[in-house]
Amino acid sequence: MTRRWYPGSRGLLLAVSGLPALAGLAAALWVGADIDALRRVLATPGIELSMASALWSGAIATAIALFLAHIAMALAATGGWRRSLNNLALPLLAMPHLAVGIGLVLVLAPSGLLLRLVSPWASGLTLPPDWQTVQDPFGLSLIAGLVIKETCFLLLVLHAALSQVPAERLLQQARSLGYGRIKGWFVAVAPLLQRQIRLPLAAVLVFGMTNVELAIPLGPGLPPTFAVLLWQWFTDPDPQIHAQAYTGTLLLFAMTLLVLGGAAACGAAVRRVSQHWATGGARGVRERGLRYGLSGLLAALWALGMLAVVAIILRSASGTWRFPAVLPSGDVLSAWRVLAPPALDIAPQTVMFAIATAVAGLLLVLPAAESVHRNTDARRLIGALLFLPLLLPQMTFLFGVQVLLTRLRIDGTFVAVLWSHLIFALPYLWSLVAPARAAIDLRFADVARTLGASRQRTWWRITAPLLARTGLVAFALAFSVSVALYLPTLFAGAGRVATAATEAAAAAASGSLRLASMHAILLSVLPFFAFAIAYTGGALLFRQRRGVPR
Amino acid sequence: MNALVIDRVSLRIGGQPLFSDLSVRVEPGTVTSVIGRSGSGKSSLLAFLCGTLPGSFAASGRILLGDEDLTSAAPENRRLGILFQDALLFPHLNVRGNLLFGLRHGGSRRARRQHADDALESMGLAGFGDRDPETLSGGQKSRVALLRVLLSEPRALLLDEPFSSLDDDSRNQVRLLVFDQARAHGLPTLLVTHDREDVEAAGGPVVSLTDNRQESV
Amino acid sequence: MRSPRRCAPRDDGGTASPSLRGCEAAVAISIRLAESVYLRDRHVAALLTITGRPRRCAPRDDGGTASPSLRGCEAAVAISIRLAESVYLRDRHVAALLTITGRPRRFAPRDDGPQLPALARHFIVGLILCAGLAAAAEPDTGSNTVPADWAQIQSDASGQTVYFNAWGGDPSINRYLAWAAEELRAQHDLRLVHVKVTDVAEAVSRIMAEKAAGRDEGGSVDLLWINGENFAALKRANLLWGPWAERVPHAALIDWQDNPTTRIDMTLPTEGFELPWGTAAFTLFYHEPHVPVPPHDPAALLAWIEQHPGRFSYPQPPAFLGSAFLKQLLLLLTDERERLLKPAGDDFADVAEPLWQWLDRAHAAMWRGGRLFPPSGPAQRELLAVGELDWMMSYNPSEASRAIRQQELHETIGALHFSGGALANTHFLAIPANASAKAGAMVTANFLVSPRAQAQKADERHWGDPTVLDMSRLATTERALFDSASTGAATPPAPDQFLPEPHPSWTTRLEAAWLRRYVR
Repeated sequence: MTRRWYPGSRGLLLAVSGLPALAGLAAALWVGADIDALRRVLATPGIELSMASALWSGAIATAIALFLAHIAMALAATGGWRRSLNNLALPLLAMPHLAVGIGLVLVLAPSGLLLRLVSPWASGLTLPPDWQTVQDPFGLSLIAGLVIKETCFLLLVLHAALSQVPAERLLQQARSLGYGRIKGWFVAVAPLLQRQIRLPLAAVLVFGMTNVELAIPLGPGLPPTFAVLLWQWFTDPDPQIHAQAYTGTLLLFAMTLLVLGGAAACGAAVRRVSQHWATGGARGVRERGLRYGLSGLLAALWALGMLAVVAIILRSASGTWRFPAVLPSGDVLSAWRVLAPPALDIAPQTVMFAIATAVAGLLLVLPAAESVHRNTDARRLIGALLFLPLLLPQMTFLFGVQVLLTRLRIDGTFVAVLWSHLIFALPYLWSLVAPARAAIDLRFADVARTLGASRQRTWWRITAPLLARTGLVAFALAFSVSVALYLPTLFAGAGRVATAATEAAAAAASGSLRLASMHAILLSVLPFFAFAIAYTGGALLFRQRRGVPR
Repeated sequence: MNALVIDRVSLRIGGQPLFSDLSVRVEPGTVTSVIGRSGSGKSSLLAFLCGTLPGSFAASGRILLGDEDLTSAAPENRRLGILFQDALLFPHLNVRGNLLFGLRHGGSRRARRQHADDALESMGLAGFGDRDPETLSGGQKSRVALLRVLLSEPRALLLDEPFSSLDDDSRNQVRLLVFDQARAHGLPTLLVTHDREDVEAAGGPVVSLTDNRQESV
Repeated sequence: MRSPRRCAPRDDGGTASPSLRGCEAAVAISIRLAESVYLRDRHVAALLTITGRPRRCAPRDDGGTASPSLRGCEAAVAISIRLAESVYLRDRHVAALLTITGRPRRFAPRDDGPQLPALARHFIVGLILCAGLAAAAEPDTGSNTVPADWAQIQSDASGQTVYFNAWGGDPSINRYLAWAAEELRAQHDLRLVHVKVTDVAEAVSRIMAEKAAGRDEGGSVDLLWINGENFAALKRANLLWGPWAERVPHAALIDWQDNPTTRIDMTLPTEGFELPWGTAAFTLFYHEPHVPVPPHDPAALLAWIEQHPGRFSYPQPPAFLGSAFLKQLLLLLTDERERLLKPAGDDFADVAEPLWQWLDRAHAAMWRGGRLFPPSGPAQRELLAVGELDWMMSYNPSEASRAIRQQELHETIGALHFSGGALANTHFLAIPANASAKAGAMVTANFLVSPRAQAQKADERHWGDPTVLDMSRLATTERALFDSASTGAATPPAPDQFLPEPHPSWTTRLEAAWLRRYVR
């Protein structure tokens, strides 16, 4: 046996991801365990509402997004629809949360694009009505924003999980037994896919509860969601209030643990119900109405997302844009001439971090995936460990990460920012690359070795080409994760590192929607091209070879 | 039961015909075998019958069950049972769950359960209801899959080389069992295979798709 | 554009401007001098820039030949100090000179006696500039004489990177700082990086985190745009470096005496830990067609709000403009204005009561029924721009004019200060104790308060932020820079009265009480 050429790859991978998370959590516990501060947190006016709205919007949005993602998969399960589905979801997948948030405000607000389209000729409105359509107290607009984003993300995850589940044949079997497309999917395929996507789903849930990117523009304002409240405390100069933020993040952490426990219990209950449903024998073949209804809902959400894209583009180009004009007035080109250069200045730096993250991430993930491709348990375990940081609220461990980086005197450096981006990119890289590596028939390598190829040669000539398509998509995903990261860039970059995300957030937080829109365009275009290149590249590679895994 | 009729069916992919103008009539309680080398379109024929043919194929012709035209019906409405090479038992349901999934709606939960257990017993699988499908042998899986199809009360049975993954001993057993049950239920059965033994055991008409031609043997 | 006058006219300044020609001559001489003594070209360029003069000779190669003896420069400094002492400069000017040059004081401070004519003052400034530049021209050749302090600072600053943490939410401010960075690069070989923060408190918490991590030097923030609470927090925690503010040369031009907000930042003395950068006066802006009769006091505003339901709002406290609105209202509504300058105490509820009464009535008729507020001032501007609101507010009187010019607001905007007086303050530059590039930060700060930078800043085409400089201390050419700055139609005339900020404890208490009262 030749010596393995990936020594320590697993350890390195886990250290890169786990060390900061552990250190961050430890630091958060150390700083946050403060009874006085806890008392002050709990005495904050409206704190119960803040927590409740975070929990409610996160949980409901995750449930709806999961349901819709499965529906979309079910509807697209047969025929050439799945490819189209990916293409349709791509723009929304590529658009970071922040951009979606900004865009939805521009669409849904009383002065937004939707009402402008019908004013004044149909609505009779010449001034925007005083309606609370965004930042509503029930968090409905926040939920809508989360659903749009997370449905697309879960579609991607479900799609990746298909390599583990013979979904098409199972569905075919169910349909030949007389089950309709939707029920067939939910009883025969969904339970199996569900097992594959538990961790990303948990990450979606935690993100939904703890994000600030969507909750700031769309979430309730008085009081804001708990995460936004913490964010406001974090940025307060008063050390007492600052201390509240640290203690608050621990509360947020406790909340996420509770919710994850609750979600696990819900999952078990749903499984039981679905088994009951599966074995009841009812075929539910009259799905036509349901199918149209749900397709309509999906189409409406998709259209809303795309309208947000349009609104961002319009806003970035607009001078003044008084209600009810549908198109902005003023010289579009002059607005872009002024705003585009600073946005474009940021692009090289943003792209550099994104590419570095994707390359470094793949370099970390590939050898480790190689080392565990025969060992399913180890693969799953590593996947779970890599996902742990995503199950922590970002703020809880980022403060600790900042302390760690500062101690190491590397805060604000390229390495620090890259490291923080890797924490968030690695789990997704792993969940795409490792199963794809494991799915490659072991015998290919055996055949190659018996034909006299060395281990390295086998990898480069056999394994790597078979992984190429997945690798491209993984690259694009890591790229887009990096582009979208706001809080990690801010913390690890010591505020010195400017990317499209930090600039867009700065502009959005200060209310300059025009500038924010300009940055949001860049923020969306970069990942979009990354995905587009990955998919086209993947389609072009081996396009004559149907056996190469997609 | 009605006869399953394949009426002048042609399949093409990328402009290349796989076979053309295939007409077969499968009488209730008989087994018709379709043979042909790999790539001759055997499996695609079954997919066409099931209604799950990928969009990259172009098909013409009709499928009839008695007088009923199934050609454009949704897969779930055709009620044509199919058995694949692997049993495709749902891994998240136990053996009984898989049977109940197939069993037509109706009756109390208790009665349905009894029905499934009786069915298992009739196949010599008594007490297997709570087993995880993954723990069964190949032959056992095939029998459960057969039961699942039969409990869904199909109007015809399609067999996609269902015995090829079994070892020699259980292959004979399962083969006889499937054919017996098909006859007992009076199902028109279409077997797709490249195994001569299957054809001999089926004992019915044989259609060959080799070289784009069909020949009744 | 001129800085608004804050108090009574000065008793010493009026006499200052007879023949500025002499001073002009002095500057001309210094430039000649600089050219002839083989100063490095960039120093000459800097001098020309500072004095706003055209270049008369072709730039020379920036050679390494530039080091005459520093003794000449030392002598110049010594002479200027003598001169300063003898010509009855104000004592604080002498003190400033001594600080700048790092020399010991040789005699006891005098009472601020009779005034030096502007001619002499400017002559001295010119000499000092020349001396400073000459000293700066000395490259690091390890001369055995100790260079004068500011010169040392300038040479230390050369090649440094200064991370300036400043609010980055406004494109024109960002562009202004990009311009400043370009100037600093050209004049001082210094890289200014604008770290665009959404709130300066972010930078403050980062400095605190660095302290928590034991980083006492090599910090990530070199210069901060700051005032009020944030300054108080850093100063309390001993995280600011200084005092330095009065040591930068252009500090001599600042209106320290007559504008108390340059020395007292929301009731907290700055003690040289921050350098005034710009001034602010609370201003209300409105959509003119909907406000035919502008309300000039809180009662009239309340009446307008009640007549126009859903058309008024203010940024949600503790967003700083929201808090400012509360303070502005309270200052006008209370009978005990003086009380607000001292820390809030047990009488808080009584003093604040008129404010809550006003707000309770207003909220009922406000945008979204007073249950949702714009998150920030610019967010409110956006709502005014699209037509959801008829009002916005700002500390910057020229904000609307600038926004109109940038096509961010429509043209029918009016502006007003309350007739009872406008809440006023100053915003500052500060250097954290652990800053990596302190010299660079000082040079940057000095540039940012230079007449040229301040004039550019006061110009609404660039920023439109009122200057902190005392016009009477500027040369004619410098003053002319301000005269050419343009003012838009939506900028109100200077307010009748400036109201100083209440003690910070009032802000904190008001914000907390507001939340308790209005979060449901």
